[in-house]
Amino acid sequence: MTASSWHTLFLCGTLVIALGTDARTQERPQAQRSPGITVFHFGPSASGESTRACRQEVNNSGRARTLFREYRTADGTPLTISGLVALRFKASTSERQIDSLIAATGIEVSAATNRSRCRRYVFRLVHPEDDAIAIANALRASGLVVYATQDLSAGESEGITKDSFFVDQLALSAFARHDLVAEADPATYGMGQVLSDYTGSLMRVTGATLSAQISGMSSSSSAVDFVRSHGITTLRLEVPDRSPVASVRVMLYSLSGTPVRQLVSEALQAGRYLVGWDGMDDRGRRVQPGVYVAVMTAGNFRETHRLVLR
Amino acid sequence: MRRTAWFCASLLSLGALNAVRAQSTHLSDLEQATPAATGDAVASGAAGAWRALWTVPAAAPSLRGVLLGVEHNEFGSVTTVLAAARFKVGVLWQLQFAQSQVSDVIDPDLIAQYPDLAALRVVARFVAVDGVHTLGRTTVSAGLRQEYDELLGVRARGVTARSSIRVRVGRRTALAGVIDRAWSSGLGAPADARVQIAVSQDVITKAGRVQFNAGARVGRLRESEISETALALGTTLIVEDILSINTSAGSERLSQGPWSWRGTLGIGVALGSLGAHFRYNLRPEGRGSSRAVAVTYSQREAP
Repeated sequence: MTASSWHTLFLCGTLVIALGTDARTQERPQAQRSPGITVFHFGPSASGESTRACRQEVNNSGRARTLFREYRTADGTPLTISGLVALRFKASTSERQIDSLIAATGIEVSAATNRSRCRRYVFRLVHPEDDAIAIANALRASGLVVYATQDLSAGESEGITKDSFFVDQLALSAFARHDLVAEADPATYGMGQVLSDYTGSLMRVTGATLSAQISGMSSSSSAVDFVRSHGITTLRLEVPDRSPVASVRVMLYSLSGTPVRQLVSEALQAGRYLVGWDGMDDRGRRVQPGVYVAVMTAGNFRETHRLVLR
Repeated sequence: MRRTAWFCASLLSLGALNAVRAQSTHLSDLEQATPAATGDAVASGAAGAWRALWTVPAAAPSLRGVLLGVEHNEFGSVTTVLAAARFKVGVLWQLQFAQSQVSDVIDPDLIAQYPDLAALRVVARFVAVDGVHTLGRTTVSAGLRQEYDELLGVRARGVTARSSIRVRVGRRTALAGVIDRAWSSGLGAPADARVQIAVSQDVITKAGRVQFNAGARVGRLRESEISETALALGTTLIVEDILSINTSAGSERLSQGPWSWRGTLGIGVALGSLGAHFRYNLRPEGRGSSRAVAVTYSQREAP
């Protein structure tokens, strides 16, 4: 793995932790990287209809504090914006959850009452190694955002605004460790559907993240809309503390029993996990839309759920 | 004149077809489902009677009657209902209806949280009509199938044309072929076609009539489907036209994927015009195995 990959992994871990996701499996890079400062720009996007709709409010927001004046690291090295991630918080994501995110990432922000109602933001990535796509995936996996995507259209012209923030990675790590200790492991094996557009590989998460995922839809009708447009391609896995550690396998089959894709096959530590399916089979080919059967086995445990691909 | 018209219709059903958009695997499975009276969809294409009619309408030129069947696949929670009727109005007509539904698609806890999800269904359905005409040893059919595909609130429809032919060679051998091709469709752009061929050979023994069947199927209906190749062999023992016992084994693969096998074991009992059929479809490790039952009412006229 290259230094660049490690860095991206670390940053994803940072985000994941900040958003309520357990990054124990992603902590290794931290030891290889000296503590530093990552800068996010946490301001309204300059593009898109929702921005126009919110512009008035943004102008009137009257954010009180400015903590960052230019893109420089702590030792004064100028930074270059290397990527942008556009996101929009869900209506169901509470102000408290956003505050938790901000607190977790060490972001200093003005009073919550001044936050833009449109909830559309852009994260500015300042390390060339940062992978905007991976970070967007981590945000999406949090279940707190309607979307998070690499934003190629946000442009260069926003400049530095009042709401740019420092993220202290040491503080993050301390937060993560504290967060991990506080959470109990699941008592039994389990699997279930999750309404999320996360389609990435197996990722360890906290109970808080799962709760955000499971109750992520603002209403029953919005859940229907989500299923109609995205299908159901994300599963949650729960692994209890067992000794010896059991090998967990999640296989995907067609309705007629033909193996399609092996989603998970590894010994997992106790905890909660999310795993998504990108609609590809084991050979990397896109499969037909339809209903598929996910079978989780671990020791004597066996459970079946459906995934629906659009 | 009538013969010419039917040959023309057969050709037209395979000819210039309109471009159309992805059908679900569920509809693909339904298109290949067969009632219990049919031993194996691929092997028994030339077998005659109800053993072949579902896939090759031209297989039994003189058979009229009604079929009702149901099949359940526990692994996939798929229940399929199949019905067919053959009657003569000018020429011989075959009507088919099939509907398949997948239950327990959405987790109960999600439905408890979002009750509107309970209204979303996974249903596939088709209605087909085929006209059948016989001249000498050759029987041809041409028809259309209207398909409906509902995948958790997203609905699509399409039409597929089908043409089949069966030729008797000698007294105990039959050859059959069928071509399906998507026509206008909201289900995806039509692919070339799906072609199936089959052969059947009768052997008279002391125990009864033994029929050996073999078949092959290749192709796909729409570009969104994965092309399938299937091969199958089957044997049916028919005792006194009352009892039939059939077994078959087949193998299939999607595109260049690995071959997966399947087997069927069926038994049918006929009392006069009424028949009852049972079939067990076997899949590796039991995944996708299913049970099917069908009843038939048959009326045969002299060919």
